Amino acid sequence: MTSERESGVGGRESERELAGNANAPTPDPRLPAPDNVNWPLLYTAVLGELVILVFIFYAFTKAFA
Amino acid sequence: MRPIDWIVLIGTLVAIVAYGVWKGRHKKDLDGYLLAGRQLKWPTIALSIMATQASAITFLSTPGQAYADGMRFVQFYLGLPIAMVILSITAVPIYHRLQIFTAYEYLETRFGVGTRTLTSVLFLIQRGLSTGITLYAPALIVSVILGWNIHLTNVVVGLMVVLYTATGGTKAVSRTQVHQLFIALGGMAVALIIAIHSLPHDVTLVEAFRVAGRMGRLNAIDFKFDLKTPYNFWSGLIGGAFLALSYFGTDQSQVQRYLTGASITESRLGLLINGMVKVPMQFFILFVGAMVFVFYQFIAPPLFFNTVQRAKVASSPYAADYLALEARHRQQFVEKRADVQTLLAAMRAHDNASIDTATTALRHVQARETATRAAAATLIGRTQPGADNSDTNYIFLTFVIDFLPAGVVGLVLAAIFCAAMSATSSGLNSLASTTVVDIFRRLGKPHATDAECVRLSKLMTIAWGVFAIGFAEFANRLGSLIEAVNKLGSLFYGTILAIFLLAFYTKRVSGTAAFFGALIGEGAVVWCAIATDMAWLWWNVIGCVVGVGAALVVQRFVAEQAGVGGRGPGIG
Repeated sequence: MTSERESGVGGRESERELAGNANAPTPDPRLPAPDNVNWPLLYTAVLGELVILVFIFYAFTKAFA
Repeated sequence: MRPIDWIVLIGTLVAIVAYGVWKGRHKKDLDGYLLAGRQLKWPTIALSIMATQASAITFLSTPGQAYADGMRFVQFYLGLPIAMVILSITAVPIYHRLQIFTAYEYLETRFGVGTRTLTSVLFLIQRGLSTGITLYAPALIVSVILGWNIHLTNVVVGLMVVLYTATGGTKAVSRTQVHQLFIALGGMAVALIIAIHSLPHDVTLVEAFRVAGRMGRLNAIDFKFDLKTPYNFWSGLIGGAFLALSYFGTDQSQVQRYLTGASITESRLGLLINGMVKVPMQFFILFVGAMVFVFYQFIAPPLFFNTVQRAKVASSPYAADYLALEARHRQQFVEKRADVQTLLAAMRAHDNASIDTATTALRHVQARETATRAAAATLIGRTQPGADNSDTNYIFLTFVIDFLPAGVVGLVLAAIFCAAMSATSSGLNSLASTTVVDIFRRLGKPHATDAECVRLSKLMTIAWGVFAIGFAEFANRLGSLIEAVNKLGSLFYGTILAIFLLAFYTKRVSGTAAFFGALIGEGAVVWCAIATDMAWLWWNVIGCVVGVGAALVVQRFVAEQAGVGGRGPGIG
């Protein structure tokens, strides 16, 4: 997925840009507050859980079939 | 229903409505009314998102699906976590940055007012009808099993929802959904415990699992690729991801839940927690159905679970045929119970050869029993042409009413109505928002004040509530209700997703191209639904892929006609 968008029209800045803008001296209330969440790790955790669930469901299916 | 059941049921519902009214009692501006002042934290957002999707249909129809067809329906949800990650990365920051009220507002900034209006109208049609089904489903089922008046049930539940949704707006909806979801899941957990506890005392939990598995009810994953199979790993992962992307990313009933977040972080966390919890939650609900199935291997089930249809056929010219089928069904149950006991004995003896022999015999009698049930359904269809001859939706509640103790029946019914109210309230809330923001304020009165818009939002909540109640009064012949509501959504979601994907990821596609691409994509979906036997989850993929492809082709044509590339003027 590209992070480039038309200026001001549904665009998506990178995480770093968003965090940087939020730390500006006069913060724009429309911009997100900085956070300490490690998003790539959290996304990996969600997808990793899905893989584990599929494995468990498959094992469940086979174990009792 | 015993007095204690009534007390639990009425007490719970009145408490929920009163809580909703109380939570939303403060005077608000439009932001406060439609988006709870954008102050909600991720736990509320996550539970609100889950409660919006999990209607009464989820809790009534899903266990019946597992009873009749096994647990393969869980695969329908496999694409959901992927969609949650994609939306967290893409849609959430965009929506938050633009400070929009509805998802469709964003489309105007990209494609013009025509495309915004088209998607808004598609949403209003689809969600308006779906909200009617959401309200209708529990009313239908309790009317059949408990003999309640379906019209009165529709009206009473509908008015309760309208009361707190209209007065309190989104804040009341989200706050009540937290409690409604806990009540609904609590009711299911109690039902599961009692189903397992009601099995014969010499049958262990693992043995119950093995019986269900041997009879094809724990078939959670099937990796075989087949376009005509409704639920397999691939249709769930791919078709389900497209459906979830569209539902959570473009359906205002869901987008509005995470637009209430105090920050991008809160909204993202709400979506991601939903991605982590939803699949296990659906597995749990299906598992309740699988255990009800095991329960009915030891206690004779009715031939057909819909008592109203049963009574009608019994008083028809086909009564003798139906009685003969019932006698055959009873005989098959006796045979099946004996085979189950043989299987259990073989399992306890660890005799693999006997286990295989007993399993073969059991599957054989199961197939004959399924054929008998199908014959009964055909007979009912012949007796009452056009009647609903599927009893999937009645299985779980029949078990609840017949076998759960006093008080617990009231709790499970409260759980079901809470689920109905939570999904309906989100639906009405989003319908009112879209009508006011995307239609009235955009096309009718652009300079309307906040006070006018809030007043109109309340009126629109009431109006859509009346529409949903009215549709619920006439809804019928929908088969498995959870399939019906998802099929209805799948007719539109792929196309709407195509528009949003074009908006998110293309720079050069104009509003005109997006508009005509959407129309062509919708045409392709309708053709697939009418002229092919393609499983409905794939409609989402078709609508999206054809919509995007057609828009890109139309854009080339438009650009050539205009002699320039880049963004066109838009249909509006």
